[in-house]
Amino acid sequence: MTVDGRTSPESAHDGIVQRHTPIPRWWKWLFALTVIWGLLFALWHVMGGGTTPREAYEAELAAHAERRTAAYGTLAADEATILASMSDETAMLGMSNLFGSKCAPCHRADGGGSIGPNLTDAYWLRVGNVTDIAHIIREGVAVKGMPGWEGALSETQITLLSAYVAQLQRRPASGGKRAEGERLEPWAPPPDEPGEVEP
Amino acid sequence: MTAVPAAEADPTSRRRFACDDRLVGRFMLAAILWGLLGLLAGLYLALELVVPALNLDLPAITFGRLRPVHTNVLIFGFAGNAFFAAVYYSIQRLLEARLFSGRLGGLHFWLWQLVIVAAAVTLPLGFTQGREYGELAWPLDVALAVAWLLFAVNVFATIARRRVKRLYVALWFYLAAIIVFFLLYIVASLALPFGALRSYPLYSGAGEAAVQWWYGFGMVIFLLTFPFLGMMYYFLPKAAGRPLFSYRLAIVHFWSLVILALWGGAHHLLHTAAPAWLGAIGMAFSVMLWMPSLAGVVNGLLTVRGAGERIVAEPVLWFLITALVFYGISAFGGPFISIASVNALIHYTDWTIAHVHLGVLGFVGFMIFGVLYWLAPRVFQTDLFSRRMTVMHFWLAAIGALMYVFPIYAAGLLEGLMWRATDEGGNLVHGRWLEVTELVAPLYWVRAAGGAVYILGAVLLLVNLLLTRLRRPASLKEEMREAPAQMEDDVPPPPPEKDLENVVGIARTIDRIARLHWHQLWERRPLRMARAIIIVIALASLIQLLPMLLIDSNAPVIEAVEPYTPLELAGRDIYVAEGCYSCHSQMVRPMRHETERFGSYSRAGEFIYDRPFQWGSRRIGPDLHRIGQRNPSVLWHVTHLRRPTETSEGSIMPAFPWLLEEKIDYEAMQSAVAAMSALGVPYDELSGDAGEIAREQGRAIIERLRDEDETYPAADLEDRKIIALVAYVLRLGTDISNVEPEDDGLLIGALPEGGAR
Repeated sequence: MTVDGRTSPESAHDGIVQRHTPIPRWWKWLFALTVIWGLLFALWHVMGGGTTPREAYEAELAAHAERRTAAYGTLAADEATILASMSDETAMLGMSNLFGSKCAPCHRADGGGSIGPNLTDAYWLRVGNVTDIAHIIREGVAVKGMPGWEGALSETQITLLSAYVAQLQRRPASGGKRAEGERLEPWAPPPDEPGEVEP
Repeated sequence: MTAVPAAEADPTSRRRFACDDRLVGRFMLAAILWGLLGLLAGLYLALELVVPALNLDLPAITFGRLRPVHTNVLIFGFAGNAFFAAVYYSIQRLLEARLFSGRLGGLHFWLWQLVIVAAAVTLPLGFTQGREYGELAWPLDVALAVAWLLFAVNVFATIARRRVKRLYVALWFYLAAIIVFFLLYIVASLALPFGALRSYPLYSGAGEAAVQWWYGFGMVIFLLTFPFLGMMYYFLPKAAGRPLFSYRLAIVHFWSLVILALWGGAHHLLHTAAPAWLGAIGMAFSVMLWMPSLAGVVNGLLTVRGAGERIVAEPVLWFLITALVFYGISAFGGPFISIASVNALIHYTDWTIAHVHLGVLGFVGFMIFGVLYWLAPRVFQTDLFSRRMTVMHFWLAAIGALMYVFPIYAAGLLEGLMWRATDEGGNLVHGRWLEVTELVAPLYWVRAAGGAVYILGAVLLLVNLLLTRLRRPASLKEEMREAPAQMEDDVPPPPPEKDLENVVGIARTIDRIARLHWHQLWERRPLRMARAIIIVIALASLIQLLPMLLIDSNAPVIEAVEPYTPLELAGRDIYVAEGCYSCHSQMVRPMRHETERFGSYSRAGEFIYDRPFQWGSRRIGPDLHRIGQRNPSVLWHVTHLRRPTETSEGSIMPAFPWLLEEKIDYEAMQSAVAAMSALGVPYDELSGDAGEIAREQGRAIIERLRDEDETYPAADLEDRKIIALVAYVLRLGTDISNVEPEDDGLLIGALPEGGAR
């Protein structure tokens, strides 16, 4: 490429001389490459190439569902399952995470309650049985501002989360909310698994 | 005032003229004063993030209201005034002509300062348009545009009386900045006023988002980059006493940026409810911008190569060179984070904050400091007061900038990784939002300390400049320059056609273009250059924005989505006025960890009544688009807004107790609804007075509060602003509940007509 060897006269631009050095080769090539790549990518994408965010999301959902089934199986929220799940340590660890995101805003991270009732004492509102816990998680308590999580959470998650809530009273929160509702006996262990009884 | 008549009998006779530098000194002082104020606001914001009680329950200094003061004062007050100072100084030298009008310049100066004063008063009072970097109330928008026009007229008129025919590269950058920023600002600020300081934007939802990030990114390029590249091209060779490395590279640098820049902004919309084609274009062009951005760094650094001893001796050069290095790093990182998969990780995190501050603290700040130190002795016509203070400022600024940027990059990465982490059962490991907040808090402290160090340096600059000014001679002499009436035309004759007998026509054309003779001719025709700039940016803008604003399929209609009720609209205006968008996004992206955390992903059709759109760009707090589904408790929201730590231990959200005291203005609702109506929001069926309807809804919310907690003194909250805000929050994201992903009416990333997928 020819280089125009002339420079501007000394005085023309407040004394700034402009050299006509050729553009560095590496710069030219990288620029050309990015432009070619960019135009092809944009064209390819606008023509419908690649996965849409929605397709990617659905794939992610499917992979996740598999993982969850592998970890927890498929559970139904009946009394025996909930009671048995209370002692499933892996599941309870996972549920503490889930509880942190869905329930902690109103029930506090340790379950001690703030806007919502204390879940770590022996007193319960609208609950006579562990399946009632699942019912409340599913439907919410509209009049008290609690949302229902049906749809957002799977049945397996609702089952395990109920178990998590049920076992919270093993660790009463310090400084928790005052007792509300009726006092209930601690949840009985499932009859066919006597080994799971807590001391 | 005119020093030399425009027409000369003998074009070679040398004429003397005086430079008018009075304005330069004023703009310099304004820049550093506003700069300090803006930086201090920034430091206070940084401290509020670690000690939330620092808002002292005062609305005006609460994060959401103070943040626009920080950004606007620094953009327009610091960067803007510094740009004007540099332009008014350098164009007179580069064009060999006295400034067209000092009086016009004075008008420009005072009107510009008035806009910033007004902004610094109205923004803390909550008068904002709620779009990032476009917050100023509409009368201020008008005044700012007028002030910019005065500036443009002065510059163009000075160009018209120039004695140097060919414009030097610095002037191309100035010219592009002046033209393009003006157009961007006008188009992005179009709004329907319905009161002295209130307005609703002409665009809504996804269309407005497209306009906003076209503007936001364009503003960063044409107001926060181009002026400073122009300065680099003038002040760097001057200070180093070296010739510019490459004129050819400068040409490619300039035009590649002008042509590509406005296409890049849409990378801000990747993964959002804006159509996928728009984000993809943004990503592709951002990658293409990689080399053009670095061209400035290459051209600058290779210009000072060989100026060794001078560099050691001259702190001005330290600032200018360091500015280029920071710019290089920042420009390297930009294309990287606009790659979709990287963007998915770091968008909404502190990474963005670090990236921006690397650019503004490092590049813009250092460039301004260097130029101010270079100008001070020349404008005040005395030696700089203290070289030692300058040297200290350099080190404080460098250490401060690095101390700011690195911890915040780290915080951003941590946030990105922790937000998406899931355990083996697919549960979010950090489901409790504040876990992540608590973890990055120490990094926030380091950031605040870094900011303080940086500010300390800027204080030294102010003191140094003031003391230099104090020592100026009793009467400043105008610098006399001498130039021929018409400087010798230095465009060489076109190089002879090469011997290209055996090649096709296009090769011949390419060869002709590559020889750049045409550009030397263009440089003599500023209007032709301006026209070319306008054509390329109009092309980039129209291709992106027209489909977004005109083609419905870019925001597929969702039947269930209805306009806000008058009370919700008033609540939304409070949300905007308090600047909630500074910390909360309203855009759940289609990623499992987000839908798990926040609820189903956001669809473009849900935002058609959102003026201004509030998608946000940063999640200091969680996303709020589905908050109405996720947390419908009135009691929770009232308690939380009054004192966030009462519901959320460790929260860094400020308290908003005044919302429980200030009253809703029911009378103003009718005009707000009427304005929305005029913009096409279907309020026709609204039966009765907007204020009456709002009162009724307000009473229903008070009832709900009583149901939730009969002991709460709910009656005290009647007619209070909190009720309107809660009404809006409870409505958020509830129009479509739990829509199945396979619902075809709710395509995300839908293509414009004809784009089969």
